[in-house]
Amino acid sequence: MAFQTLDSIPAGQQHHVTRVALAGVLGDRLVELGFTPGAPVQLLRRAPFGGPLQVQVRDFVLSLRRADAQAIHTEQAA
Amino acid sequence: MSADTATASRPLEVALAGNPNTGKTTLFNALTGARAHVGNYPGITVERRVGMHDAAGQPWRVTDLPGCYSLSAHSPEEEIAHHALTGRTEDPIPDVVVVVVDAANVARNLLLLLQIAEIGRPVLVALNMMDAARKEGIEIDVAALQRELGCLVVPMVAARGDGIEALNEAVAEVAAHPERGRITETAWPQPVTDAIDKAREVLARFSLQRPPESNGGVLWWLATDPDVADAEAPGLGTALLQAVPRPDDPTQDPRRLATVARFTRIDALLSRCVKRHIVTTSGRSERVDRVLLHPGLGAVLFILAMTALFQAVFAGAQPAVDLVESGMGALSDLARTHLPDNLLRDVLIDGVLAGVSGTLVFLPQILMLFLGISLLEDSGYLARTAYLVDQLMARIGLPGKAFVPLLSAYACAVPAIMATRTMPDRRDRLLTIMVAPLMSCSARLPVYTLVTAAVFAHQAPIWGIFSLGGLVVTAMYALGFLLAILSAFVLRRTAIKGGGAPLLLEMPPYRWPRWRNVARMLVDRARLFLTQTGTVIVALTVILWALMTFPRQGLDPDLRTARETHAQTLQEPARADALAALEREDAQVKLQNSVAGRIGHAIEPTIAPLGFDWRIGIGLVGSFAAREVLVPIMGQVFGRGSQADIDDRYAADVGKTMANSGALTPLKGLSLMVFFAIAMQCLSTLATIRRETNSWGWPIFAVFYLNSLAWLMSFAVYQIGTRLGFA
Repeated sequence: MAFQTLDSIPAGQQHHVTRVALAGVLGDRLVELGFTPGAPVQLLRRAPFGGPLQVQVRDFVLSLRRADAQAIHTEQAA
Repeated sequence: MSADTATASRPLEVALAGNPNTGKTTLFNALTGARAHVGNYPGITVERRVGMHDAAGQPWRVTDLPGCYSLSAHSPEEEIAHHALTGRTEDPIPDVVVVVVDAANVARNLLLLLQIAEIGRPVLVALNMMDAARKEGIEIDVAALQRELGCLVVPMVAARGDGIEALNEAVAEVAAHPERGRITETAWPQPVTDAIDKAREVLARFSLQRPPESNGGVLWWLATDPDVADAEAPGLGTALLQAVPRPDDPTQDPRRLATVARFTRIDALLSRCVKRHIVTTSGRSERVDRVLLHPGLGAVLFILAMTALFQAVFAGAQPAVDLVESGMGALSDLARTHLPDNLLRDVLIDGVLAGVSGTLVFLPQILMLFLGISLLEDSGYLARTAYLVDQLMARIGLPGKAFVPLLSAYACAVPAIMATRTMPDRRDRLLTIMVAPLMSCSARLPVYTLVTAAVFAHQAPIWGIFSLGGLVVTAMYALGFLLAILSAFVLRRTAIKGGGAPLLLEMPPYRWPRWRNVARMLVDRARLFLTQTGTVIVALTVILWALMTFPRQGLDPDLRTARETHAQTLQEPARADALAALEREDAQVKLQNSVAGRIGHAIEPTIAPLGFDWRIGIGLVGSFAAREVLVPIMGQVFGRGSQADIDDRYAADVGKTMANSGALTPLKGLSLMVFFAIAMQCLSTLATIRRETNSWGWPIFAVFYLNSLAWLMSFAVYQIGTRLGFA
């Protein structure tokens, strides 16, 4: 099944993380914040003019730039 | 009295660890009351907070570790947290680590708990904000959680003081029986155990002074930044990276597999003791965000909030500033009348008291700004402001978190630079500190008034409506802003390479600010500023006073006596006028003969191309104290007398005197304004940069780059203007 990336999913739709395809410290950091395979994730909203995203992973709400969110692969929850 | 006096005489070392926004600070404040010491860890600007707590039996010495999401050192906070837990800071190794866990966000918080337990410290959980979790519909079976984790779990509402007694008992129990504070090791997958074995061999070769005590400790060194490992033992970071290279597929990196294994364990155990531990939407905060982060309404509310903050700093603090100024002025007058007229009196009044006054005068703005910031931060809105402006700020090369500090810099760079503490990335923060002085602060206004009143006031309005002076002042604001963008761009590629940290910013649930936390933060800020920045300001003020005072050569004594004698023959009020004029002239000559006066002379060749003569040169030296001081110094140099109260009328009067003497023309005035818009003429800002960067290198760099830039811009204005036929 084709994966989606966190920056492109519709706001409010429930997804699961499948993979953090980002090497190095930033990728490590995302995993430590809870972006582990299977973790529930949701795009809450996008800031206007190409600004960052507001994202909820597990119980944690954070902001994330679109370019970074692109490296987070997701799959729509059943 | 305990029989074991050795134990009783030593307080129990308790460290508070936890993620940001877990109420860790609230718990620290509840435990230690007012008896806490706030300072910095040496060499870096991570705050170190230590306080005493009277627990029955044995008192605790509580260290509030910096808030962090993980222990692996990707940030100074995490590095310090690890180093403090392993005895690498000035504090002793903690006997017990209280891991503060947000009951509404358990999974992510438990990651840190596992990491701390892994490195071998006895832990217990303070499960905080139980009330908020309950409101979010999260039910936690504390007994089951305690069973699953194997360490003690104390449910708390630290803000109300609920659970402190139970925490006292739990800490005492773990102190007496450290094995009660252990958590069984996570079942690592094969690649992780292999990596641990390889890393252990490497670590053995380097024979560290404090070798890791456990598998988890080895894993920490493996997962940490190579720089941090190299700082511990040269070559260690590289050797670890060679022994356990990062694979092409980042998801197969043992460092990450370890994190995933911890989360797998956490998810499994939480499924047995937390109901609804995965919430789809945080109800209440999400509803507030729908308004506050709305593309239209949210933007309007943001602008309103920022305007209110700016007004509070810019105008709201003014009455208190006036009060400080008049109070200190009265104190100086009192000292002047009651102390014998000698050098000691002068150094006391014009050096020390002036420095103290120059410190205190910033306090109202600092308190106002930090009141605003702590309300924004405590409520959860500060993180939202960064989200809202991130894209806008990215265009000028700075992160969203730089917005509030730079906005405040339009009032004053001193509190603005202090406010950069909210910025997590060191380089972003440094960059913001370096460009903040370019924002046109309120101290520049008297200088602008001096010039515009003298040379632009009588010019015809542009298109009949815009006064030329007003336009020029507006242009100065724009110039500062544009140069800030340009400087950020250049510095990012030269002196402060890298940075541009990813925006991984927690947006915590909205909460009512805790007044106790706000008050505590204000007291801490004020105390740090007065003791650490204030002392530098006083010292620099005394030095500057000495430069402007010695060698104390006034009017020729014979001439002075002759004129005094002559004045005595006059009738009042002519006599008083003549004596006052004599005093002004004496002060003028003294200043011209002083070291500062001589420096003014000496630098004339370098500032002549900007249109400044040596008299303005003295002003440039003297106004290093603070920009607005240019006005009374020019008053003294041009024989109009110096005046403490720098109002518009006085500034205009001084400016006109300068214009009449030819020192100021429209072009020279413009050049002077451009110079002051850019130059670092403020020793208080320097003292603050020194304090906030923990170095003298950065403040010196700031003076060098800003004053060079000021010189170049003024040079361009004056030379091009002259060529174009302006005067």
